[in-house]
Amino acid sequence: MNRVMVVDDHETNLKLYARVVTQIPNASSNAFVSPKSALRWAEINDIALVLVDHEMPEMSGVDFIRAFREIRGRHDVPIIMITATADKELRRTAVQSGASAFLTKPVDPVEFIALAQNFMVMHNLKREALVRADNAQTQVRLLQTTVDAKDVELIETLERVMETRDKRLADHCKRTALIAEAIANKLRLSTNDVRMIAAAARVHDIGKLSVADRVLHKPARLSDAERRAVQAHAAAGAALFRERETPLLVLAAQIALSHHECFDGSGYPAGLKGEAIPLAARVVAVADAFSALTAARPQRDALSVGLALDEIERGTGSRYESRIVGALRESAPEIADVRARYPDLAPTA
Amino acid sequence: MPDSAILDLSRLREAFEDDDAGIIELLEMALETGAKHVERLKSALAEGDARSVARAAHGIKGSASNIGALEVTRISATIEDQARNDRLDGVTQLAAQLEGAYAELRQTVRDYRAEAL
Repeated sequence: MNRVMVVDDHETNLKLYARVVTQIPNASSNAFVSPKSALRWAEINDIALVLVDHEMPEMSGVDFIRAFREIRGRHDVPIIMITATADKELRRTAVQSGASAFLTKPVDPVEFIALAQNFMVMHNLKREALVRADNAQTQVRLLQTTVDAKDVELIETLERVMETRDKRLADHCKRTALIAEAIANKLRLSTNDVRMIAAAARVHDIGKLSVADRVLHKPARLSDAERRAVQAHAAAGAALFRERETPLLVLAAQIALSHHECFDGSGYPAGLKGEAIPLAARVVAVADAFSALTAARPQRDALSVGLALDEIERGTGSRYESRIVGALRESAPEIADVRARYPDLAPTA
Repeated sequence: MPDSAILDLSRLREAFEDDDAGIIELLEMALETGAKHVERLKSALAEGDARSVARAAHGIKGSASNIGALEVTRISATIEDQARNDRLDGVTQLAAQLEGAYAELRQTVRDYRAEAL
């Protein structure tokens, strides 16, 4: 049932308009002598159409319309203002205040019915269209962003492959993913984006399985060729997800490929700069660096959390994006938890 | 009940879908509230408050025109016009005419009731 609100200080007018409303299919009227009580009622009741007189002692029709338009959810309810004369200036002001149409007294019942019916049909269609658009948008978002369970299974399998081959690498990936998750949360990314980054980051270094152990774990300075071989892990990791099209695997490929890009363009493999680097990869770059610095390497001991943060701080603006480093600093409690869950094992060398 | 110079029922017939009882009920209500508004107009007039006279006349005009009370509409429109121009001198006489128009309307409604119900 469409509610038609009728506001007029003259009761005979109210009674007359209410009677005309009974001729409109699926409509019922709610009549008010007092515009103020009408406004209060409008705050809690949905309304399909308003019919309001202009000259009322308590409040003018124009003022009523202004106040009505301020009420949440009532900005687009059609309002017909009734005037005793076809005063142009008044009508102009009323339109600016939100009046949709006018009727002049004596109100012609047929004219009123036609106008009211058309307005209500249009209003309802608009409402329906908005709801439908909203649903469609939600649906699309769900489709686009739902983390596919099968993709997560694939990532878990790849994780196990890493564990079998190189437990320290697998743990580094897990730490990186958890720290990236904490950073993404601090950056106030959507819950879904956070979940996606956390899942995709778990295999960001999987390409390292394609690098020879003697190069990867070499306790001395690498030759240029060896360095290139290590750097190839980015493209090798991304290549594992080639032709995958689901959101999570596409993101996993992006992160694997671009997590060694630097904010100033000095990274590899593509030398991307600033926002050209995918956000997820920029986040993982900081998390990866932190996890690596706080783990022992063949050439050096593990750094303390404080020293690792200082080291990363030095790369802010050049290697890393400053707001992401800021988010890492804010993640101290999560970092402590991650280090407790996945402590760095002593280097095997 | 034929339309007269006092009362034009065409719009009310449309509004009430020829429901005589409904129309008569509304007209009797209009007579009752009309009397109140005329009293308001007269006391504003006695105080020489032109703005209030105009406002009261405007209200009477609006609802009278809605119910097709032609004579009441015409006289109240004249009163409103004069009061807006701050010319209250002739309004006393017009107010008496307005009461006369209401009396005629009351009689017309009475006849209508006798005929229709």
